[in-house]
This record gives sequence, structure tokens and C-alpha cells, in this order.
Amino acid sequence: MRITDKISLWSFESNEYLEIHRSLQFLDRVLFSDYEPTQSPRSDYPTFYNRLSSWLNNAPKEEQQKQYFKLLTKLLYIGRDEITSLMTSAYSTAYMQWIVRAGSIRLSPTTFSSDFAAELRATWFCPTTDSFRINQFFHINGLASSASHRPDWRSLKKFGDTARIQKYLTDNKYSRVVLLEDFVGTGTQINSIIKFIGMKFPAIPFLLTPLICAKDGYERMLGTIHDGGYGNITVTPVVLLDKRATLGSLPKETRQVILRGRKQLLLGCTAEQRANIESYNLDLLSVLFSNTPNNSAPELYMHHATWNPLFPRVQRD
Amino acid sequence: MNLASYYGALGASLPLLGASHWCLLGTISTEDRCLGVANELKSASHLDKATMLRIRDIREGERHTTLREKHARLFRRQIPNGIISPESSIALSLKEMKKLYVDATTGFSECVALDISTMPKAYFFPILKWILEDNRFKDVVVLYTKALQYTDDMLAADVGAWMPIQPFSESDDSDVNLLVVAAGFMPFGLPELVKEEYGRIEVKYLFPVPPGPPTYQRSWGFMQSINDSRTINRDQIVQVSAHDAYATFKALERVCTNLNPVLAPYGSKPVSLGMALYAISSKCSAYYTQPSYYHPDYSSGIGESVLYPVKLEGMYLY
Amino acid sequence: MQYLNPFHELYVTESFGDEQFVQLFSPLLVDPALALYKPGNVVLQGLAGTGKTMLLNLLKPKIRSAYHHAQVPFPVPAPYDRFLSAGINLIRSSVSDFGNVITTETNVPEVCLMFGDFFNYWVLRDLIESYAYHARQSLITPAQVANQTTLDACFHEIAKNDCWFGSMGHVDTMKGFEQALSHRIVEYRKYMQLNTSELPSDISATKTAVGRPIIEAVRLLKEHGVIPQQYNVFIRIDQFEELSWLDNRHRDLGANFKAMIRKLFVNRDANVSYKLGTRPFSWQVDSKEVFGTSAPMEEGRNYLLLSMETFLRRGESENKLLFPKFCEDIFTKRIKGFNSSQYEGTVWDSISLDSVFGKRLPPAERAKRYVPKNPEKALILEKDWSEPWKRFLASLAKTDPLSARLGEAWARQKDKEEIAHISERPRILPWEDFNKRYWKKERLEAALIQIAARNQQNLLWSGGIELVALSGENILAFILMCQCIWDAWLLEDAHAAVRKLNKPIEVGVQTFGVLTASASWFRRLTEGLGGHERQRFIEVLGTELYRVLVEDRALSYPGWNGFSIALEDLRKTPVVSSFLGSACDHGVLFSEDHSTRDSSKKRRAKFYLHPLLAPYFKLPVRRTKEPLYLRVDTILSWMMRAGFELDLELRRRAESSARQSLSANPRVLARGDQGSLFE
Repeated sequence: MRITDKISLWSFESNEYLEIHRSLQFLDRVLFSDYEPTQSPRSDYPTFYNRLSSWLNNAPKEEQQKQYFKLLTKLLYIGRDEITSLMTSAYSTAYMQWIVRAGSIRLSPTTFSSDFAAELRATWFCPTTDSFRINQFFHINGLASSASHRPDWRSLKKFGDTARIQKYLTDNKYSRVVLLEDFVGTGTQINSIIKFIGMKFPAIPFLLTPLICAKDGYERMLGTIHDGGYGNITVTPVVLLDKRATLGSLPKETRQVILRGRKQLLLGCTAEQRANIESYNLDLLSVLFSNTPNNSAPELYMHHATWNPLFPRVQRD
Repeated sequence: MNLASYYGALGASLPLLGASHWCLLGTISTEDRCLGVANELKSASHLDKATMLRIRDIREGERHTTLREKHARLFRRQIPNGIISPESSIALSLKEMKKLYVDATTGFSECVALDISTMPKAYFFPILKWILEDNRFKDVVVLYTKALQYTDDMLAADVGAWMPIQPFSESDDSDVNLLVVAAGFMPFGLPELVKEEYGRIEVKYLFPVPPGPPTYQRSWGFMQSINDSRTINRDQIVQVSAHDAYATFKALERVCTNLNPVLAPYGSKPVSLGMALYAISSKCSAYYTQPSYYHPDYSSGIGESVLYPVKLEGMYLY
Repeated sequence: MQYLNPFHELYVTESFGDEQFVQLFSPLLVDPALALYKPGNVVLQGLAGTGKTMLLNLLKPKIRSAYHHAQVPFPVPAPYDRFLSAGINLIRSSVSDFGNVITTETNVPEVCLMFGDFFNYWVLRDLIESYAYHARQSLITPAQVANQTTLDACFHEIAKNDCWFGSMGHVDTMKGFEQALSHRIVEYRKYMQLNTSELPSDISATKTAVGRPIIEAVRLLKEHGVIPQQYNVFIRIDQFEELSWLDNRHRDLGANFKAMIRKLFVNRDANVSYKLGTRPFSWQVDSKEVFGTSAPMEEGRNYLLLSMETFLRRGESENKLLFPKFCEDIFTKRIKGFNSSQYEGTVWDSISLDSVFGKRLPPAERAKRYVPKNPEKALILEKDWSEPWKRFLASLAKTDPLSARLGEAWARQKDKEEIAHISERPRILPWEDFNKRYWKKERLEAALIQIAARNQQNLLWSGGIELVALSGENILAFILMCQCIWDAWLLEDAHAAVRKLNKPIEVGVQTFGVLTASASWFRRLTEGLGGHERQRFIEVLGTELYRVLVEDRALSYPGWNGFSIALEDLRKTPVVSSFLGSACDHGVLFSEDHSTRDSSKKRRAKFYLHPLLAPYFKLPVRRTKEPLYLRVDTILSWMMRAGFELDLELRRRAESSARQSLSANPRVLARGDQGSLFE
């Protein structure tokens, strides 16, 4: 059955379904169309509407399909332009506020620019993992980088030599480091990096700024910092996703139907997929234009023989 | 980096400022956060004087009065030497508002803090302009306290005509060639206007990112209401942080280059602040459809107070 | 997707730019509204979306120019196309700024006189600009354009006229005159922006009487041949209603400004005519007071009242009605004016409402679609009915569920019950008898709603005629439906490179589009003052009407898609009268007086929802038989449910009414007696 016929039928019960559809039509046009994993003309999942139709059909019963449809009212899709804005905020808010406080920069028009510039010169901006588009960050914020190297610190942790890193910092007169990341979910990855920098570089102030951070991950990071006594590390997400960004924000009936349907979804998963869900799933309703995080509800991104994705995920390590 | 681009938590920012004592102009309203700034300044021993305006909406019920009285009592208790101005209407004429401003700032030192947390645009736009033109004031900061939560009910109702926020009216509307709308929660008749009054001119939308949910979804809902009347394309949308007045100002500079814009501040207060500052600098017009009624429990809770420097040491930062 | 949808912009007016306006404007409305382009003051009333703004826009010089340059005949026929117009938007021309200078000590009449003076200067400045524009765009033939010497002489004479009280004495050229006009406007603006504490004395001492300088100027412009003699001069006034907002700045300021505008209408002049657009009821309920006099304005004597609704509905039969033709014209213009290679291969010339939307599905066909799997669900069979009768109906439902449903209703009619106790299949179906065709016709829509409801199906909406009926004489509603249907149609296969409109759009797709448009229309109810209460009230009303229609198993009251109230009762309860009037003013309800069927013989008014709300509430569009007779107290109870604040006495009445159920025992209803519950 066509989606429009479905919704016509459903709207006998409530006109809410028409509202949701109208909203999705609009968002598809102005927002969803930049979803990278489906951009290729050869993609199996060309348009959002095709995907929506087959996604709804994952649920065998109409009553279930209605609840999946309602789930979409809470979808948080962060498009390319939104990421750009978050990158701007990462610099002009998170970094700015940190550096002013940390450097005790006086808020005086006669000295601020020069004081700030001095602190900026002494700051090394790096990505936390290789998924963060650090060049874009520099470009967007109009920053000229003197740094010849901007390694991601996950790689540095694995392959780097602490002494050489320290030397690089000293030689380049960097007294502070800012680590940027696009998305932090459970914080598993980033916590190991926190421990690394907390133990290896205790004298260097670090600012960790995920553009988007789940509350679970944030609290975990704070816990790691607290437990390790890493007083040199500050975490300031640009956007913090709390329960309002998860399945938990949905009405009880909707949530229950989706969780019941998850059993069917899990049945079709490989062992690896199930393990990933177990490790990382936070039931977030977030999608980034570059990919869907594995912390998001698997209903959104999973694809296997018995499950069609809405925003298929490109699996990475 | 321009100092205007700085904004930060009030408590953290105060020690970094040259001035140590501030004269506060704020508003007693139905919202808890109307006292956030006053209390914080007082606790930090940075409060010199405080005058609170008391502004009445066009249509109100008992609860509005009750809540305002409650906050007035709290204010008097916490800041015994504070002043509460006589009650005035949200539709007060500009002339009477000027008189109110002059009376309210009598005896103010050269350091003034304008708390816009619950001050209606009809007031804070002209008052900000007057403060910046007032030679008495060498240091001007704008303060804003976030709410912890907004009501899920209708925030406001009974929208009036599309009219200028005084004194930001244009001299001749035929020259207007751009409408810039800051997206917010409720469009208040804007869809009708965008399609009728401004049907033939370009429209740009300032879309707030951050924050995230639930504001994010509500903002897209705002955009969709307008799209129902007049198609919105991706390239008309300019993302700007809802907390960043300076970013709004700079975005307007980019978007309005060589154009004669009308600004429509439907977004967050910091974005409205950015629009007000741009309107002051560029002498362009700002229009709004003023609701007659605001929900008495518009917001609840007192969140973080944020400081936006506008003029320091006699230098206008924008 | 928006580029594939010819209706993606709802408003034809100016959002497309002048050139496209010319292509898309339908001239069908011009003839019935011709008085707008003739000498004489006109108040054009109509709801948003009725085409009122389109008609007023024809007065604008830029639109005139667009026709000229596009070499498209101007829709206003000669000799009425010979006019010059100027205008003022009462909000955006800074008139609202007069509210800035008001204090409790202000002499409000003085401010009103300033407004009148400002009006004169503004309008004259616009008139001169309009004339110059006409000349530049060759809208006036070169031979008719006055030379500079003539112009200067003319304006010199205008300036000498005593209407200026000497303020223009120094002016002796056209340029000087324009500068003087601009100067005064700037001075007013400075004063209104509080840049000066007082209006300069040379201005305050020379305030002109509203309208008089315009009349004098136009007279002299004609005498000098600057404006050709055969040309009319029209002054457009926009946003008149919004002046009411100024009452919030100071009591009655807006009302006084409106009274000042009315003064223009009182001064009937052969050379200058005023044209004003307004919403329907607001003009009627507004005081007709004229500034400076106790004599009110009189329709007919001072101005002509043109109603968009009247001439959209005029015509004796459906074939002659203007609105359907208007829809057809707008539709085909939009489609043909839409140039997209994505529609390559489409034969545009054969496009029409019928070809794209087809005919409405016959009722019997719709009924079958409402019972896809279980036709018996179309029926509710009483236990005490005979088995042969029940079997017969169940069997009939398999092939003709509509007839079966009508049969069920027939058996519930007063004096018809014996059919439900027959011992064998009926040989004839009395409800299908030719002599009962009106009985059947009146009940078709209600029967279909019940069949759909019993099968949990939404109603089907399709066909060109249906869309026109759903529009409620509102072209905006019509285009909205077209937009939504087109969007739904494109969704079918969004990647299809070529789409040919060689057959009507499928019924399911049209239904979806109409439902979407209806939901959008419902959302818009919040617009305007009191909008949220109106929307909530309509929600209550729509839900209640649906409920009583669905519960009327005997189909005795198929007309209950509207309600009726005694006029006398309305008059006694002004809050209800005013609320319903406001709802009509905003196009949410339609109302008309009607003759009463009940014994009281009281004059009554009936109210129906805007037709485009019918899909949202699953109601019929067509009005048939008697509406639901209600007491005012029922309306009060609904208003209370909608959040309307009522005083103690009215609240008591509303609560008392709410305790009584609206839907009475069907047998009571079937007696044709709407019972004491309602009256």
C-alpha cells in the first residue's frame, strides 16, 4: 500500500498522521536530502520516501507501523549546515568561554583582541578521531593554522610517542589543546583518550568539545575525569542530548511497541551487529548527515535481510 | 577576535570586567527567571542599584497578577533598596516609555546592566537604543537568564497587527527588499504576512542551531508553518546559534549587504538582541506581531544567566 | 520537488513578480467588481483568499506597467482602464507611529488632525510618483504627458490654494512641491520617533483637512491637463482594519483614526475616489462614525459596498456561478504558465480541472470502496428485525452497500418499521423508488459517512467539482488543495523524469491531498485575534456534528452538518453573537438567515463550517434539509469547552447545557421532534 493511502486510512483515527507526513515532506526537501550514505545514484536506498515506505513495512501490523511513524516526530537530523553551525559554536562559544576563563582574559576592548590572539596562538586544535573534519573547522572559523600537524588523538594514543608529542607541543609553544569530535555516544572511545591525556599530559590544559554528545557519554567522561583526578581536562559539548532525544521521550505506547518490535529486528542481526547494539545503543533518535551513530536506536539504521533501514548506517570500526 | 563575540556565564564573566558594580534595569514578570540576574548580581556583591519595570500584557488573568506580585515580593525581600516602577502596558507609547526609562535610570552610575530575560521586545529594543545613546553610560552589558523549561501549552495568543517595534520603523516600505525572520517557537501570524505583505521580496530565515531537542524540532515546526504558505528553500536558511547575539549580528551583516531589510525577531532573546543591535547600527526596521496574551506560566525555573558585553570603557563593541 | 509543483506558491498576487502576475491573474472577477474601477468610493469586502487583494492590486501602477510590457490586455475594460492611482498602507507608512507620541495628557483629536494632514501629504506624494511612473513607463501616451513648464505652473497654482493655509506659499515648481511634501513627512517622522519633542510650529499651525488638498490638487491637475480629463484618480487604502490595534496604545485612538478615514468617504468628489479593502463583518460591526460629525457613513450614499462572496456565488444555477469558472481559469493558467521540462510530452492545451481531477466518484462506488473486505459492516441490524429482512440487507450489502444502508435507515423511519419484520425478501425496494428519489438524495452523504465510519475508513474526496465545492468560494483554499494533491501525486514516483497528465489523478491520491489541505486549513484557524479560541471551538463543533451524524441511524437529520440559532436568542446573548460573527468574519463559519420549520416561527440564522474543514471532521459538504437546531446555551457550553472566558451567569448556563447530551434518543429524533433538549 502506498504511504499516502496508509496515512489516509490512519487519519480516520487521528489527523496527527497527516501532520507528521506534511512535516516529513518538508524536512525531506530541506534537510534529509544531504544524507551522505544514500547520495550515490547507485545506492540501494535512493530517496527518503522509498526508504520510509519500506521502513514502515518492517512492522507486520498496521498498529505497529503507526507507532514507527510517530517515532519520527522526535527525529533529530543534523544536516551539513547544522554541523557547520555547531562547529562555529564550538569555537565561538565553547572554546572562547574556556579560554577567557582559563586565561583570565580581561574583558576590555583595549586588550581583549591581543590577549585572545595570544591564547589562540598557543592552542593546538586537533580532532579526537579521524571522523572529525578538522579542516572544515578551521575554514569555517576563519582560523589560520600554523600547525603543520593535526593528528587525531585516537591514533596518537595508539601509535604516538608521548615524548615526541610533548616536544611538538613545546617546540610550537602550545600551552593548550582543544580536541574536537562530531559525535560522542556512550563515550567508550573518548574515555580511553581522556585517560591517555590525563595520565600522559597532566600539565597541559585540554578542552574536549564534542559537537553533539549524549548525556550518558558526557557523564561517563566527567566520571573518568573525576576518578582519575584529571583536573587539566574540561569537557564542553556544544549540544547535549538528554532523554528528550531518545526513545524515552516518546509516549509510552509508542515506546513499548518499538521495543517489542526490536526482538524481530535482533533476530535478523548477525552476532557482530547484536554485539554492537549491546555495547553502544543508547536509543538516541539522532542522525547526522554523514552517518547514523551506532548509539542511535537500531530501528533507524539497521539493515539486514529482514530489516529495511530509514537512514542506513555505514559501519566503521 | 572582537570582544563583542564574547558571551559567557554571568558569574564567570563579572570578575573579568573592569567595572565592579552595576546598575540593573530589569522586569518583574510572571516568570521565575525574572529575578535570576538581580539575585546573582546581589550575591556576587556587584549590584549597585536595581530598578525593575512591571509590564502588563494587553490581556491577562488573575494568575498573571498573582505571579507578578509574588516575584515583586521576592525582589523587595532580596533587594530591599531596589525600585519597582509603576505598572505600564506592553502597548505603552514610545513617549511614555522614554519617560519611564528616564525615571527608571535616574541616579544610575555609568555601568548599566540591562536584563532582557523577561523584558518584551517592545521595551528592550527602544531601551537598548536609548542606553547606547545615553552619554551617562560607559559600560553597558545585556544579561539574559535561561529558563529550565517552557510550557507545552500555547505560549501566547491573540496576535495583533504587523507593526514596527518602535522606533525601528522604516521611512518608506517600498524600498524594503529583504525580510529576515528569526525562527522561534510560534509564528504568530507570520505565515500570512510572508505570503501577502512580503510576497514579492526575498525572505531569509535565521534558524537556531544549537540548541538541540526539543527546541530544534519546535523550530522546524515554525519553519514548516511558514512553508505551508510560502515555500522555503534550503538556501534561504541561515543557521545561527540561539545563544549568540554577535553571531546573529554578523549573519545579518552578511545577509543584508547592500539590501534594505526588515527584521522579524521571532527567535530567542539573544538572537533578538543581535537583531536589535543590528537595527540600531544600520537603522533598519524591525517588525513584530505582538500577542495580546502570554501564558502566565510561560517558563519555569531559573537557569544560567549569561552576559553579553555591548559597550565597555566607553567603546561600543558592535 | 517544489519546482515540479505548479501550485507551490499559494498566492498569485505578487510573490511571482509582476510579469508572472500578469500571466496568472484571472480577469473573471473584474466584471462583477467593475465598480472598483469606476468613479465613486468603494469598500470591497471579502475574506482572505477570495481574490480581493488581486482586484485591488490591479489599481497599482507597477501591475499596470507589467501588463503593458507583457503586451497582455489589461483586464479592466475601456474606458475604465483610464485611471491613475495612489495608495497608503496605514501600518507601513508609519501611521502607526502616531501612537508613539501619545501620553495621558495628549489631545487625541489634535493627533487625529495630524494624522489627517500626514495622510494628505503622503497620498499626494504617492500620486505624483505614480504619475511620473506612468509617464516613464509610457502608460500615459507621450502626447498626454505634460511638459515641465505646464507641470511647474500647475504645481505653483496648487501650492497657492488656501487648503494649505499658506504652508506651500514658497513653492513654484513641481520639484519644489515634491520637496515640500517630503519635508513635512520627514518632520512628522522625526516627531513620531521622538527625535523632536514637538512638531514644528509651522506644521502644527498649517494642518490640512483630510482629503481636501487631494481633491484640490487633482482638480487643478486636470484643469491644467496634467492628468488627462478622462482619467479617474483612485486612492487605495490598505490595512484599515489594523488601525484597531492603536486602541491599545490609547483608548479609541484607532477608532478615531478610522473615523478620520471615513471622512474621506463622506466628501464625495467627482475627481477623487477612495478604494478600501476589508473583511466582511468587521465593516458591518464597526461604528460608522465620521470624525468631527455625529452623522454616520451611509452605504449607498457615501460609498458602494461590494462583497466578494456575493459575486462569487452569483448565478442562478451551478453552471452560471462565477466561482467554478474562476477556479477553472486559475487552474489552467497555473498549469500552462508552469514551464518545466519534467513535464515534457504533456499536452497542455487539453488540461482542465476535469481532465486532471476527473469526475467525482458516484456514491454507490464510494460506498463499495468504504467496505473493502466486510460489506456487512456497513450495517447495524437490530436484534428484533426479522431474519429474512436481515439476510436480505446483508446480501444486498455485498453488491450495493449504499442501498443496503439506505434500506436499514428506511426501516427505522416512522411508519416504515413493518418492512423490518417481513417474512420473505422484499420484491421492491421502496427507498429506490423514483418517487422517493429526493428522500434518497438528501441522505446519500450522511449514509456514506456512516458506512465509512462503521468500517473505520476515511471519506474519499476527488473530482474537479468536489474541489470547487470544498473551496467555499475561496481561491486560496482551491489552490491549497491543488498544491497538496500535486505533492501527493509526485510522491508516487518522485524519480519519474517525465509525467504526463493523460489521465485523472487517482482517487486515493486526491483524497490524501484534500485531507492534507484540510488539516492545513484547520491549522490556520489560529490566525488573527481570538484565533486559538476559534480553532478550539471549531474542534468541538466539528466533533459534535460528526458524532450526531454518525449516531443518526435513521438518517432522519442528514442536514446536521450545520446548526441554527434563533436570531432573537442571539441578540439577547451578545457574547455568542459576537463570537459567531467573528468566526464568520474570519471565514471559519458561513452563515445565512433561514426560514424556520419549528412552531415558534422565530427568524433564525444557520451556520456551517467552511467546506474545506469537512474532510478534517469527516462531514458532508453539501447542505441538505434542516441544520441542527440549537439553543444559545449549547453554543455557550462549547465556547466554554474551547477555553472562552465567560462571566458567572453565562458559565452557569453553559455548564447546565453541557450536562445534557446533545444526541438524544434516536427514536425521539426520528419523530421529527428535535425535542426539548434543543429548544
